[in-house]
Formats: sequence, C-alpha cells, structure tokens
Amino acid sequence: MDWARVSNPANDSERLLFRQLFETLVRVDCRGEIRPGIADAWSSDSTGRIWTFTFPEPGQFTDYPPITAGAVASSWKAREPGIQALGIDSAAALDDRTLRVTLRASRDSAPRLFADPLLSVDRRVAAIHDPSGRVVVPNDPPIEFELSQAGDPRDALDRGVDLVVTRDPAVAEYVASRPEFVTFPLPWGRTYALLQFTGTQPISGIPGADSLRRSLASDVVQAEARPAQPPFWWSGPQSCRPDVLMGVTLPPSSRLVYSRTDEIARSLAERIVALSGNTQLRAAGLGEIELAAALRDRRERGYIVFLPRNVAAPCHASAALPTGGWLEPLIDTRARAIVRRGAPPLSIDWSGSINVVGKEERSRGSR
Amino acid sequence: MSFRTRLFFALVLAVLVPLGALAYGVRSEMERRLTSEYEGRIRSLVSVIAADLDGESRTVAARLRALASELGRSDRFRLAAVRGEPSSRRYLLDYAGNAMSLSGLSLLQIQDSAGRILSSGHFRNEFDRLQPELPRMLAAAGGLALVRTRTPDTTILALARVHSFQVGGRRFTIVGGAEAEGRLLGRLARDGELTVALVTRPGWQPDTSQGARILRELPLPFLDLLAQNERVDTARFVITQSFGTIKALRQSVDRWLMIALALTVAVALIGAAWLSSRISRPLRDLARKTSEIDLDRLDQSFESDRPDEIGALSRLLGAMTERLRVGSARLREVERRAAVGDLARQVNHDIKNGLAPIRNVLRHLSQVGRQDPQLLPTAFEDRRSTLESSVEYLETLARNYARLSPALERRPCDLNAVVDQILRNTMSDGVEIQARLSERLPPVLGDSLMVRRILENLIGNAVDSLAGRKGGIVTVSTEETAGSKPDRVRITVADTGPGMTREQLERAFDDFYTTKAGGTGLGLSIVRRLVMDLDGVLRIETEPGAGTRVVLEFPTASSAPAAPAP
Repeated sequence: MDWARVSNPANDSERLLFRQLFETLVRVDCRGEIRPGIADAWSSDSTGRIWTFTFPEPGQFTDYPPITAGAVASSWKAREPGIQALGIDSAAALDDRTLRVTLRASRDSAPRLFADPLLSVDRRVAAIHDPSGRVVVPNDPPIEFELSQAGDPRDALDRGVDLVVTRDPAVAEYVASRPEFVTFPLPWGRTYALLQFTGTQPISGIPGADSLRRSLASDVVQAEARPAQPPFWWSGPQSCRPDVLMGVTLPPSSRLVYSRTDEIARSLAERIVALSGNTQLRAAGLGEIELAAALRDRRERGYIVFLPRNVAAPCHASAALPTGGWLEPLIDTRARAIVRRGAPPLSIDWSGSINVVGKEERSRGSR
Repeated sequence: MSFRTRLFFALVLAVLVPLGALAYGVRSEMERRLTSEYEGRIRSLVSVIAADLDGESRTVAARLRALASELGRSDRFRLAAVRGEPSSRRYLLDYAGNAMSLSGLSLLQIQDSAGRILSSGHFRNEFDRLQPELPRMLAAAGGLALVRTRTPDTTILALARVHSFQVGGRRFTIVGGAEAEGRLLGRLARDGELTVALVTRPGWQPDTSQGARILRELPLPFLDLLAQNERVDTARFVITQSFGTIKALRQSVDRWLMIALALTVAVALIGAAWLSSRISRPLRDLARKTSEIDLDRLDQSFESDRPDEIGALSRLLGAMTERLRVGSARLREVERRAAVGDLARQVNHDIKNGLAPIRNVLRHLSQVGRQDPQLLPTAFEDRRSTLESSVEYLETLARNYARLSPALERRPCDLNAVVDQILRNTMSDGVEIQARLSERLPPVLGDSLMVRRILENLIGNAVDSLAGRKGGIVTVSTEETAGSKPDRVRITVADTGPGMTREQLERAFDDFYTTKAGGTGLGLSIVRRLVMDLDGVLRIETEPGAGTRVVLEFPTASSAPAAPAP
C-alpha cells in the first residue's frame, strides 16, 4: 500500500474511493471542527504529549470486524518511519477499544494531526475490482465506483449514478434544471501554483499577482475558481520549509509544463505563456511519470502544480514539497458534488473528501 | 592474323555491336521517356498546387464570411464585444475555439478595431493581447498568405485570410486559416520522387548530396508573427526532384545491360570460337592435304559431298590432283621411254663399240684371206687379242646390263660371311684390305647375292681408287648401330684413295658416270638401287685427298616386319 498516495490522491476519483476504504482516528469536517473518526472520544494528559483514543462499541449493523486499537497500532508500526516523521513517538493498544499515542513533543496541531490521511488505516473491507474498471466497496449498502477521468459526467448521471464529483461548470449547469439532483460545492480543495526553481530565469511579462489571479480565476480556467487566497500552509511559519538552494544555475528550457490530464493546469500554463511575451516559451503537457521526473531533475522553465488547500500537518507536508524553488499561488479551485435525491447521506471533510455514511455510522451518530 | 582469328573477331563484333547499339538505344529512350513523364507530372503538380491554393483561399474566405455573418447576428457577441457584458465574456473567449473546430479551420482569431484579441481558437488564452499587425499585414498581402504563428505548445503554418465586419458601429476583424504543412503538403507530397516543400527561409536549397534539385517554385506572401518584424516576406512552394529512384533505375538498367553484355560476350566468344573452328577446319584439312601432294604422292582424296564453296573447292582440288596424277603417269611413261631410249642408244653404242674392232678384225682377216690366205693364221694370231678383248668387253657389257634389274629375294643374311667370301676372291693388286668385323653382328634381312653385288662394287671401286698408289688401304668394317630404330647393321667400306670432289660426288650415282678408265659408270647406280630395294641407307663421306667412306645400313632380320606370303 502506497500511503503517500492515500494522503495525496491524484484526482477526485481516487480521493472519493480512498475515503471509503481508509479511516483516521478523527476527522475534520467542512467547517474545520474535529469530528469522531475511528475513535469517538479522545483526551490528552497535561503535557499534551500523550493522547488516549477510545473506540466505540461494535455496532449491530455491521457485517465486518470492527477496527480495534491493536489493529491501528500494528498498522502504524508497520510503517513506522512515515508515522514518526509526523512527530508520533509511539502508539500502544491498552485494550481493543483504547489506544494511547505518545507524541515526541506537544503539538498545537493535535488532535487535528490525527486526521492526516497518512495516519489512516484500512477499514478491513475488501474492494472488488471488476473487469470493466468498476470498484465495489462492500459498505452498507455496497458502493459502486466508476474511476473514470474521461467521458462526460452527464452521461454517468443519466445512467443513474447517485454521486458525481466534478469540476466542470457545464455539468452543474446541466443538473440545475434537473430536480432529482442536488448540487453543492465542496470546500476549496486545491491551490494551483506556478513553481520555478532557483537558477531558472523567471517567466517575464506576467502582470501583477492580484490582477493575474483574478483573470485566471474568471476567464482562463473552465472550473469553479477564485484567486488564490492566503494564508498558504507552505509559506507560513508552520511550514518548516528548508531554505532555497542558492547559486545553482539550471539548464535553460523554454517549457512551462503541466500534467497532461489536468485541464485547469493546462489553461493556466497557456495563459502564462500567452502573457509572457516570450515567443520561445511553450506550454507542454507531461504524463504523470514524466512530470515527476521533470520536477526531480528541475530541468524545465516552470511547472504548474496543485497543492491541497488544507493539510493536517503543514510542517510534514511542506517537507514533501520540492526544495530550491518558489511557489507563486495562482488560483484556488473546488469541485462540486452532484447527488441524486434519496441517496445515502454524505459527510464532507475539511479536505473536500466525501464519505458515504453507512448504517453503522448513522447509528453511532444517533447515539 | 589467321583466317580463323579474323573470323572469330568478326563474329564477336557482329554480336557485340548490335547489342551495344540496342543497350544505348534502350537507355536513351528510357531517359527521354522519364524526362517527358517528369515534365508532365511537374506541370500537373504545379496545377494542383495552384488549384489547391485557390480552393483553400476560397474556402477560408467563405468560412470567414459565414462566421462574420453569424457574429453580426449573435446577441451574446454583441453583449460581450460591444457592451462588455461580463456574463457573456466566457462565451466570447470560447467562441473562436468552438467555431474553429466546427468550421475546420486551424487558425481563427477575432480582434477589435484596436488589434486586441477578443477570442482566439488556436491559442485560446492569448485573449486581450494586442496583435494589430496580423490583419494589417494580411490586408497588405491582398488575399491568401502564409502565416506562421504560435499555439500554446508549438507553432503552425497556416494559409490565412482576413475578413472584417461591423457590429454596433464597431469594426472587428476575423482572421482564419487552414493548416498548410500537414494538410496541403500531405496531399501533394505523395510522390516518392517529386517532393513539395513549403520553404519560408530565403536562400533555401535542397540537399544536393541526396541527389535532389529544384524543378519549380511557387511564391506566396509570408507573415512570420514569431519574427516580430511586421514585414511581408515571400515563402515558396518548392518542387524538388529526388534522383534516388531514377538513379537506382538507371543503375538497375545499366547493371542488367552489363550482365546481358557480359553473357553475350561469353556466348559470342564461345560461339565464335566454335563456329570459326567449324568453318576453318575443312580449309585446314584442304591445306594439309594440298601440302602433302607431290609427284610421288598423288593419292590424296579430296572427295566431298558438301554443297557449299568449300565442297566446290575440295572437288576442284580433287580434279586438279587427278589431272596431276594423269600428268605424272604420262611424265613417268615419257621418262621411262626416254630412259629406255637412252639405254637402247647406250647399248647400241656400246655394242657398236664392241663390235667395231671385231668387224675390223673380220674385215682384215677377210682381206688377208682374199689376198694371201697363207698369212691368215698369222694375221689371226696377230688380231686374236683384239677379238678376245672385244668379246670380253661385250660379255662384260652384257653382264653389267643384266645387273640393272636383279631379282630380289629377302632372307636373313650373314654380312660377315658375305664380306669374308668377297675378300677371299678379291684381287688386291697390292692394296691392303683390312676387315674389322663385329663378332656379334645380327643377320640382316636381304638377298645375299644382292648384298654381295653391292659389296663387290664398293670394294672393287675402293681397290680401283687405290690403283697405282702405294700403301693404300681398304677397310671393311661391320657393326651394329646403337639406339637406331629399327635395329640396323652398319657396313663401312673406306679407302685411303684420292677421294671425290663435290661435283664428282653429286654425279656419283648417275648412270654411266665414271672417272675410271674403262669403267661403265653403272656401278654406284646399281648399288644405290639395290640398297634402296633392301630398305637400306647409303651415305658417302668423302673429301678430295682424304679418301672415301661409304657407309651402308641395313635393317636386321629381327627388326623387319614379317615377310608377306609369296
């Protein structure tokens, strides 16, 4: 299991699926409040280093074995280096329903820290992949996913799909006249930024940041967007970002690269190319592997990347960003969830993840 | 140079010259037809390019007119472009891209009167940029022009036109174009040898190292927006011909012609050699037969049933040989008659010579008998020696003439025995006769009487040559020749006499030639004839003052072939 992928899904489909398969001790709702996750109660000692999580009694509606404190401790133990990087010193199960977590130092971010997807554990349900690319998660009731990035989401809605997550405004316009659907925006989940490494000639001709961001948000991208709004977790005092590299001259390149599958990134790259006045500058879409390699090798003039708008552990997340460069935030974007009336209830996290609430959770909520 | 060689070369040339002419003709005709075909294709290609350019121009113009008409009627365009309505701005920004994909154009841009890009299809996000030079330069080009402009990720070359329209009292321009390189050139450049290139660089030349040359050029106005020089240049459709295919064709034709030539040369050489040999062989045979003809050998056959000239020549030679044969026979008969006549005259002369003393003695005795019979006995006694010598002379003559035609009887003959017998009966008259006889001499095949007559003549001549000379020696020796085939026995009769001059030697075998007083001149003639009859060899080695050596060689009895049955 690639837990880094779980914490940073490549697209909205993966985010939706992973949210059904993995669970954290607590979660942060769309208003930023801490909510029960695997644990339904938590407390800390006076030092703020030792946290005790209490798991609920197994419900009567589930057909699957409950997640125990021992299972969480074992899962974390198996990926100890990554867990410790978050500042967690140890985790021990006192019994099936009690988990004691010791932090290396008191953290202001706790207990929000425990909502970081890196600390999630699998829900002990086996997803079923069928040959057509569908994934069935045995929830109550079972959830069937179509993990397609291609195709028109309107076709999926017309086929009877209950939930569609999309960033295409045309889809929202389509369902506006359809009374069987409800549309609601998800939290601003992504911030697109221009990344350039130190030693690279800055891209010239870009107008002032505010007017550029407004133009990008209003005219350029085909998505619900706004000018990127501070604060940005990677630039604040909590980001823990290392100093940029100095004195490094990178090979000249005339490409501004972006992910080939990301239309918003493409539009941003094209607009910057159009505004630069540099006739040699080109926008180039790269595949996922190529883009990762280009970021690692720092061989391009600039990169259009997106980052999660909110992270549970900014310091840890900043450490994963490429070093030796600067990020120019451009726009924030958010997706929309289109839900068929009568579908199972949903809960929305701070990160924009959607959780289909099953019977057990509903019963726990009722308690 | 022999007839056969000349014939050989003539045949080779007779094959090679027409073949060479054929090869040259085929190659020249191929060259001419290819050139003609290329010219036709070039003309056709130029026409197609011109027609395509005209067609593209008309198509682009028609689509621009249609789009301008639609924009003029569009409320949303009016709201966005004229009134600046924010709600219609996205419609305006996306309009060119949507219209471009619907109209099949590759370049589409809408500008306001200030040259600000309101909507761009090939580069959606270049909106709000100022680019007034494009419609201005297109208008200056006066119709279709080639435009190089950029898209977000590359550059394109498009055949573009400009069209203007008015909405709400404002003037707008719409620039549209079709992609030139892929669509137009892809349609044209399907010929492997003729290549159409769209050249925008001045002074461009094809890669001559690949054997290409420019055949025709079609100029076209060219606007390079990337160069930012706001100048109308000239681009060219360049038709180049690659010599690769025709060169390969030529090489192939040359190769096959050379192969055909080589094969023909080989076949011609073999055929000419065979034919010249076949033609010249009868001539060589005729030459060989003709060279063997002489008067002693006229038995060559020139019979031929060939109907051609060689047959005719052969028959002519046969007829000529036959005439020679008849002539030779006549000649021999004449010679024989002449010889008989000579001999008869000689005999007549000799007999007359022998009879003349006898007649004189008889006439004398008759006269004495008539005049004084008592003196007859005395006169007879006085003339008796004359009678006896004359009779002896006649007897000798008779004996000598009888020897002219001896009968031949071949049988093994012991030479040493014959030599011994001769030497015992020979009157040496003071000449020393020495015999050096080989003890192991094989018998020869011959007639002992003939051998005896040969040796008697030779030994007699040798003794006679020493008459009156003191200390003269005649040596008779026998020996077996070494290494000769067939095996032979050599007899040498040598004397220490005066020898012979060259003239004497040349006439030594002539009949009736003699240097001896009282000699008949028939001895050596008879010897030569007898030696030849016995298949022997006779050689005389002589020098004036140094004596004479007569060397005879006879085949041995063992080496001779079996005698034919009598």
